[in-house]
Amino acid sequence: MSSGFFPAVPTTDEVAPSPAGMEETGAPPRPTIDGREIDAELVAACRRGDPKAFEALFHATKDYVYGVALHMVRDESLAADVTQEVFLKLLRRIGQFDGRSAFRSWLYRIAVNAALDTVRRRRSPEELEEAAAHLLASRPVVTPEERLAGVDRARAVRAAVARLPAKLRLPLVLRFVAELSYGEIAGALGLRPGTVASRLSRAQRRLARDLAADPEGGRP
Amino acid sequence: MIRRHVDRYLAAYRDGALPEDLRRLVERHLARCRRCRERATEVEAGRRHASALGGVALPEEAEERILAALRRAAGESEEAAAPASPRHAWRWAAAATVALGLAFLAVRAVPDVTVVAAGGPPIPLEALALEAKARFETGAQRPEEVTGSPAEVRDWLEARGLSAALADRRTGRDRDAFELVGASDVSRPGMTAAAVSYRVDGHPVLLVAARQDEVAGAPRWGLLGKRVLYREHRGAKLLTWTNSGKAYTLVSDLPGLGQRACLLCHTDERRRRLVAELRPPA
Repeated sequence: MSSGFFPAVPTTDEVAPSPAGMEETGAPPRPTIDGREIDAELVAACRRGDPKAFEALFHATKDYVYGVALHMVRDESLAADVTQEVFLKLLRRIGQFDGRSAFRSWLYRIAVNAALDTVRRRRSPEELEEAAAHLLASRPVVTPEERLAGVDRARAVRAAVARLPAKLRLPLVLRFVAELSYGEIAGALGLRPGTVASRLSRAQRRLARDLAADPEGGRP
Repeated sequence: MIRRHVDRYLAAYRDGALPEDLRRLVERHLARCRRCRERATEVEAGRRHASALGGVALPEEAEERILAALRRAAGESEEAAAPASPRHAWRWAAAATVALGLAFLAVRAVPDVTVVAAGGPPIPLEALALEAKARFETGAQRPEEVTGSPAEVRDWLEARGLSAALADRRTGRDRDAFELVGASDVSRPGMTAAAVSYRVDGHPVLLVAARQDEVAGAPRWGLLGKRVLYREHRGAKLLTWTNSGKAYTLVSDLPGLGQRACLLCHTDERRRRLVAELRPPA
């Protein structure tokens, strides 16, 4: 029996590799405006050029888009620039959204591409490494009290995520920052859902091993 | 027959994203494969770490800048839509000016806010906020993270998957009026929540933050903008709203709706004006 997300289940205990051409499955959209499920009516209003609707869409999604950008470009100022670029592109292109994909997949495809373009445009590989090193080196000294409160953990996790290669970092950030489903991530990145699942497994394992080896994330 | 491992499915298995038949296959494999069980433990640990990634908020200065850019772009697109014929150019110029003005008015730098009266019993987040307020006032609970630094409290919240855009800087007239005391975990089963303690004009104020999907009854944004629930309860004023997947309740005994406490996060002039102009629900 095939779910459409993964291949037909073999009758033996051998796990089959995922074939090409899998379809994305997803639940029907739920009407709410909280950045995670975008109301079809809101999108339609935006497409009609309703400025209040676009403003509502901006407020509902700005923090998620910024969070994704921040984890990709690893610089707050650049992340804000990326966020601006994303919403300007959205404003120009929303009339072109044809509804064939999930809106959030389309939105975060724009966000991911904008962030990748920014990284390529503004940073040489050496500058990227320097920025990552700066991110790690700029951690303030953490008191035992802060460590207990988890502040150190949050910073160590951010630094560990920054060390992941982009193809693992992207699905992880879209899953845990933008809170996309596997299908939505697949749509945003142009991957099959099975590939998304595989990369998420690898990313989470690498994160765990990285942080187990160095809980405070002090190494470059 | 070669038995393959199930590494690639472990995250989806943990997230409940596998179809039932494949889930059962993975489960049976894990029951007999120690290697994959060890890897599943790693995936679970990585998942817990990654859960701390959420809760990032776009800085308010950037938000203002972006909204201004969107407004300009909306105005420019109205101009570009006008035809170039010189014969009726003056009519189109007038129409474009009107459109620009409408676009300017419509796409404002701050969202519309509607205060609605809360009906029925307090929603779970309001009830949690009232209980937390009582515990802090009687001394039964004290802040876990005692700090006067908004940045430290923001980091502390982010570590818990929550967020609040607490202002770092204040103008002279407010500088001494807002005193950050600290933050505490006030979670209950099924609701991860944190309380940020303040004194505003000498009055104790509590800002309770939770994940919106764990709070039943939290007001959602409408097409007209942000909706804020207002409730009075035994002298306490409660304001409840949602933003970017989080739900918030402010509880205080400040005058009016208690809306001055909103300036914990909002310090720019336009938002200050908006807060000051909030009116009770009809």
